Amino acid sequence: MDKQLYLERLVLKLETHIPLPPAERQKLLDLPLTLKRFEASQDIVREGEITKQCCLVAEGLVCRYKIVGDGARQILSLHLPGDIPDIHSLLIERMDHSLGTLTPAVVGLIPHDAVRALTRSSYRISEAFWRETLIEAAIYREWMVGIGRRSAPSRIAHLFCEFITKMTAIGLSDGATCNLPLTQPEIADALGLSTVHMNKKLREIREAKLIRLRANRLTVLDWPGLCELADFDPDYLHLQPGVAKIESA
Amino acid sequence: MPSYFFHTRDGDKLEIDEEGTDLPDDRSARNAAKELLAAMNREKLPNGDHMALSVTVQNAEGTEIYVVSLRLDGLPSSNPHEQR
Repeated sequence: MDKQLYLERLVLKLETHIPLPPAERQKLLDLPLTLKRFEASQDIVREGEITKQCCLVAEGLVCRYKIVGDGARQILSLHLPGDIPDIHSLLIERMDHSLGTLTPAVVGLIPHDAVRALTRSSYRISEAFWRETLIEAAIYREWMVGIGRRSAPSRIAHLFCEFITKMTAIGLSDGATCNLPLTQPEIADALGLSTVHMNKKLREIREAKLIRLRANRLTVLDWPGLCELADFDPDYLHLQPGVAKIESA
Repeated sequence: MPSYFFHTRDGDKLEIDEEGTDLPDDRSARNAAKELLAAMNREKLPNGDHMALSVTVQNAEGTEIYVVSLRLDGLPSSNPHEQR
């Protein structure tokens, strides 16, 4: 029963980017899924491993990351329920980064053979997965711009804008408030900042009354102000016109 | 983990850190202060030719354990007083 719900999350996620006909939706819902539970801060797939399955995020928050020579971690992307962060493993078998949990999570493992058979039987699903990877590349470009060119406060604000926009699109936020189960060192690792620097700038954003962040709950107090600080334009997320978006309060 | 407070100074502007950050030991606090100073430097660099930045680290007992500072003076090399 849970499996059905988790596969529905996959369909919902894909449909934030492209509508699917009922027959294609059903094919996705029929995918075989093996559920696996993880604690927070556990690796799902490690750099260098060769996998024979894709991981659907069913519950919790997952990230891609790399560790550099001196042990510092760079979080490369954040993945919400409905995402398949290693869909590329279908074509590039050896992982060039690691996939790990940030919170306790449930992951649905789907054998490569099943996904491959599905993409070969349906060009729409094949294109939907292709589109996912292209949009993910767009998100990487945005993160690259942030780490390369945006100020620390702007980077932090951008992460908040992106996170709540994605959460709203998949129905896990009402557009005003959402769970943000990230520690400050984790946010720092995603933005290429030191924790102390991040703490200071986050305080400034809170004092400017743009957001409230308490007990892992993010509340937007001033959406236009937050977007302005973040230099955030949601176009790069390529959400469908009908998808829930954040309106200015 | 012990808490450390990182007070910053940018010219005359002093910012007191009231919340602090948890770090494992003094050594990580000193490194964090240097990283913070480097980050402040990166943020401020394009503005003007003179800059004096510092970070003071205070431990949970209120004792100052480290001060790190950075001074920048940019002078145009075509300045006639410099050339002759």
